Amino acid sequence: MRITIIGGGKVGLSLARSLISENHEITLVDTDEQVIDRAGNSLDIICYAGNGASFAALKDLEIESCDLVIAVTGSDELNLLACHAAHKLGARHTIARVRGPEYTEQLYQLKRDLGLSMFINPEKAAAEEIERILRFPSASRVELFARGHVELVSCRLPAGNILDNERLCDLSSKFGIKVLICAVDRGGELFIPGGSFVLHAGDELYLTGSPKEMAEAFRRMGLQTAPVKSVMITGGGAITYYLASLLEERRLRVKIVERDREVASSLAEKLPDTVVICADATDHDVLLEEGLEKNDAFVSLTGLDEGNILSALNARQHEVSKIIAKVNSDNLTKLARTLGIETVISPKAVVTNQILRYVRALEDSSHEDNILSLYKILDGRAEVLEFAAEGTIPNLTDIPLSRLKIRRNVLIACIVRGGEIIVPRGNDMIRAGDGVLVVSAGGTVLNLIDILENS
Amino acid sequence: MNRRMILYILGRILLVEALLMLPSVLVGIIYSEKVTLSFLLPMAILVLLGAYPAFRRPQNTAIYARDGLFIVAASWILMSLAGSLPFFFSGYFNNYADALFEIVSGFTTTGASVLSAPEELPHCILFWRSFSHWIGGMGVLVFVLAIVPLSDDRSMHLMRAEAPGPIVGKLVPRMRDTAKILYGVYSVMTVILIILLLIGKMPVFDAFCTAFGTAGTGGFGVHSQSIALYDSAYIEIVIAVFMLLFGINFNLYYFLLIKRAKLFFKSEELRWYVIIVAIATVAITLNLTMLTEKAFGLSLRQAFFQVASIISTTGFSTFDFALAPQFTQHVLLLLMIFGACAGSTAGGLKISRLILLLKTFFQEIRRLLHPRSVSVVRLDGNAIDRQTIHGVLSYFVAYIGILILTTLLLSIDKFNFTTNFSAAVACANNVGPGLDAVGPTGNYGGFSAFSKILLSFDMLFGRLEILPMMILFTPDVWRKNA
Repeated sequence: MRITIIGGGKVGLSLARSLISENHEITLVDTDEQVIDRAGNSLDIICYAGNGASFAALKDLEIESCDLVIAVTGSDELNLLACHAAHKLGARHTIARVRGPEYTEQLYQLKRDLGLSMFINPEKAAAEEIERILRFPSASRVELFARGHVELVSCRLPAGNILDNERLCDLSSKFGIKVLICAVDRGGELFIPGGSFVLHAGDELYLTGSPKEMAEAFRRMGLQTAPVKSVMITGGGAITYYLASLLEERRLRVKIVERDREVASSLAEKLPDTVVICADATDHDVLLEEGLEKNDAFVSLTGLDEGNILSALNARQHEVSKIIAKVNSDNLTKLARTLGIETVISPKAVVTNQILRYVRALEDSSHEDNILSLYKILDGRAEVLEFAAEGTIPNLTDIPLSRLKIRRNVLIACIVRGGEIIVPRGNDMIRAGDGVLVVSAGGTVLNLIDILENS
Repeated sequence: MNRRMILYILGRILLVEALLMLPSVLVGIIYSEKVTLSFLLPMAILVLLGAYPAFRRPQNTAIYARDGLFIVAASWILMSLAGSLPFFFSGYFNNYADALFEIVSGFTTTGASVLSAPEELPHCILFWRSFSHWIGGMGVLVFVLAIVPLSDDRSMHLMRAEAPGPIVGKLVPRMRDTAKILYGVYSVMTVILIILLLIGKMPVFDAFCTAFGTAGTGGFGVHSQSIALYDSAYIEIVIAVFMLLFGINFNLYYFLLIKRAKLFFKSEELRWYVIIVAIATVAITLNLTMLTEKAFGLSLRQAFFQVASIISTTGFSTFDFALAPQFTQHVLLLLMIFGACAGSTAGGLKISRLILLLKTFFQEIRRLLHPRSVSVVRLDGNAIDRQTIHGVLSYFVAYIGILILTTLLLSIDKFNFTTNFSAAVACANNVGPGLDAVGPTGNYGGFSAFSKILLSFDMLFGRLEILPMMILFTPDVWRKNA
């Protein structure tokens, strides 16, 4: 695909790097000649110095033959204008990064008028990811499908778990677990399990189901290490605000430590149920005084990567069970992992992943237009795809699943019908208008017909 | 510097060179020549030396500007050292210096020869000699970039170090695709030329060799009389037109292909190239008609061919211009220095550098008149940044320095100033024939071994545009922690 990235900041460059490795043709636009020079020397892309929101520059770049325009400059307004201009000149898809919380509401309405395919808010996305992780402290990863109706969670089955040596078909009847185990990674080998599959300790499980069922399943599996009830956050930036409001909704006890008095008091105004403390987060005495070790989770979100890592290490010493640190620099991320901080969040990486996923879905759906989203698991060896069953499909819709001849290594994980989640059994069927979540390992699945044998 | 990555790329270059010797072997087999055996040992050496580093891909593939320059300079020298071996083993060259001079002249598309009668050589050797023009024309590294993936991200450093001209840009985002497009245009134009030459009843072998010489703007002929031998107006015009075409920036052909003809005609460099060719042709035609007994038609034909041949730095000839009136000789010497367009296969100073030099000069004069004026130098309507201008100026200084130094060192031999200076100009600009003793009918055989190696370096300096070669002479690069 031909992709134009406007803005050569951290996200722009990291996107360019990832997209090159997926074999796309990239053009990078930035007004700063130095940025352009450096990018041109280190990446195999075309670099263009100019204002990506101007018609002159966009015409020069032949934007009309471009498949996707991604605007990630520092300014929301510029990003929106660039996307609008590119759309007007005939770019097929546009993505804008919009940070300001004050724009979020109106954007849902303006999206179509501006010709935006998608807009992303890195801070909000990062906050949402942290919130999901806090919901399952024992899970390593959580992804959302079907507009948040379905969750994909991965976790490792510990030794001595009640599910050890159990068959999958017994999970529902014996343990009341209503989520589906859609993929299992056993020592690097991938299984799309059937009903007779027997679980072993040490397996990495991928589960799908509604958020409610998922929480229930984790509880029944005994994996729920005491749910997170109280969270301490250091730093009072945008992520903290989004995260605290999400946590407030779930009625968690949130404590924010922020150094700047004005920022702190404005947070206190916006977050009525949150305790805001005005103090230096690097002062560990203050954290102890505020009961660091009594919290279930500690999240360090200050603007300083090094400070975040140190605070996280400090929290680990005081045996806080779930620790998350925001680290923006790639080098420091690696360092933080080696130091034993398991969960590291980088808004840059979150945004990059979001856009990459969109690009992949775009690419995979260039023939058929009904892949809604796509997510690669197990280093890309398996994919979770979300389809919309548009209209009746012969040999597929309105036929009980037990009578369908479904391809090997393909599994129907979930059927979404009007906001309701159906974990499919043999006598369920796909109806026109349903959303269908499919897990596939090996072989491309481009539309729903592809899941059938000999299609 | 990333030594392992440098070795890795150099290893691949050596393997590619072994591969490039295959067509010559094939020619040798077709003509069932025993000399073909002299290719086998060099090929074995190349494979043995290249195979080990070429298949040890290092973990760290990052290369930076200085690695890029170093790789380009080192690979051209290595290729020349190895490429001269078939010549040396064939026994048709007096000593190794002669063989080296000949292959460097081939790879750098100079076309200066130590041989007085090339037609005495076996076909496979002649073919290798001409084929080296074709390889060197577009650049070996660009070729390697097109066929084998090296270091994807930073390959721009390689391209920039090898491609001629003050400003080097990519056509499409991916380096490999850019290299493929360039070689695609180059190959298609070469094939068209071969077909046109065959239509003109040129022998098949000659057509191939002449086409390689024209495409690379090299100028090795397969006969001592060069193109004059065929005595065909059609062949002369076809070759002259193609020499001019190969002297145009290849990026412009791509713009034509993707129907952005506006950019093609907007090019200031191309405009001046055409103007200079026209003026020089008219001037030499008038000079020849007035001072010799040649008819106007013949003068025009000879003048056009010679101007095209010299400005594109090819160096084919249809008459001995070293015996022409002084004015003609001087104009041709000037054209040698001008060279053709940046981004082509031609050598010389390049028209775009000339334009930038003149514009900078006039800007300086304007500054004298209006000391507080602010102005920028433009090319094709785009402002050129100071860094580029600075690069052009220092290039010019180094270029003049090399010409002076070479002339001085050549004077140790027995030849006169005209010979020495024109030899320096002809080699440093990758033209080939100079004036007087090194004129179209003469050759470089009379120089001492020292002079031949000196001129070989000049040719490499000219082809790689000085900077990559200079880096080899910088002590810093050779230090362990550099």
